[in-house]
Amino acid sequence: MNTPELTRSWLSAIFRTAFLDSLPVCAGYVAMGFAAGVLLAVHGGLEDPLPNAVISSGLCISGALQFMLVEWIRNGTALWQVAFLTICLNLRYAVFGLSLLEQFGATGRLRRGYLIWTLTDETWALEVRKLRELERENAKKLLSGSGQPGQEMSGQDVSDPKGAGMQSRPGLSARAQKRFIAYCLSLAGLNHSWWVLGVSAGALAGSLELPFASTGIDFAMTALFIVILVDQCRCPEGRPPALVGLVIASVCLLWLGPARMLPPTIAALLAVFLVWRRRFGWQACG
Amino acid sequence: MNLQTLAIIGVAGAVCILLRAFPFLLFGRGGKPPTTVIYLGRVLSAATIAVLVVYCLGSAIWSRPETGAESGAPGLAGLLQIRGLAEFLAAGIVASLHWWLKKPVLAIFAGTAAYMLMIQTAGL
Repeated sequence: MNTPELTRSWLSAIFRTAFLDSLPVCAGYVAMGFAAGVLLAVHGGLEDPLPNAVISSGLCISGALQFMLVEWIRNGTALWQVAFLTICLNLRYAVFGLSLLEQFGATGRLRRGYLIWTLTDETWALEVRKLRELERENAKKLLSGSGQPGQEMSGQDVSDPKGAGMQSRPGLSARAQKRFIAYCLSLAGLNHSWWVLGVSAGALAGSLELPFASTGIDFAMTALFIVILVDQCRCPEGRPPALVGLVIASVCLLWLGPARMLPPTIAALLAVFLVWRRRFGWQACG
Repeated sequence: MNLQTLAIIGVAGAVCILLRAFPFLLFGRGGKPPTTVIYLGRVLSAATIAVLVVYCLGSAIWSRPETGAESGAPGLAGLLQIRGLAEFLAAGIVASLHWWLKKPVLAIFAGTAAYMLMIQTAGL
């Protein structure tokens, strides 16, 4: 099966789409990153915030983590706690890949590695949206019978293209798969740059020692979580697990205080979700 | 560069990347993960966000000296006798702004600014 090469004009069109899609992300990342960078410079207790800002933002690309890092760097938190809290904080990342397994799995190691590394909430959401769009296009082509679906299918199931199109979710044609990966690489690179840019600019601004009363600026991180929680609650299926988390966490907070509340909270959540499994037959929104 | 700082950043970054790679390492291409894993991934990630909100609000409240009736502090909180009033008000501002306007960056900035104003000048 020959895989059609993408021409330069194709690639530049894909890059343009990715660029336009990344603009709202740019606004959010630069603004949030700036706040995180200022916080690192002002509260981190570092002599050289800028290189730390560049390295940490480039490596982690995670909003919540970037804010937590400030706290950890200032307190010199033990590494096992850093690892544990990072897992608690970003557990959701572990499920993002599930929806992109097939497509990312089919591409080269280096590209796959970069795409996995840059899988943030926003990048993931845009990539999945693009994937669904391409799948719909592909399904339309298969159903209308135009083109040569038998040759275009990248999966193994090429003997009965119509059946494949009707029964299971249609995969991407070889060409669509290439377009998809090109889109993802462009988008991931752009979003990655916006984040590093925002955090670095913030660290630079913060290290200029502006006369600025910064007490309470770390509330930006709390606000970020509240925003994510609100978005999640727009979808009715997202509410029960959020409510369970809210109640259990509040009980643990009042009982043990903020420093020791996380391990028992996670344990209680696991127990509740496993015991009352049927009540949370939860599907992802959107 | 401080070695300890680098180690903290390195550990956080490595764990982050491993989390993102988790499904790829475990199930490879084509493999189907068990439904329990998918289910737990979804409900836990949804619940964790709520936990983090509580955790952050709690950390902010606990890290501040007590205001209000216990400390005999002046100001609005002294009158209202509620600990953590500033945190709850600011959280309410963020949540309601984002719920109705759907502008995440605006909500975060407005809420943070309101919080800073409240704890720095209003004595809440």
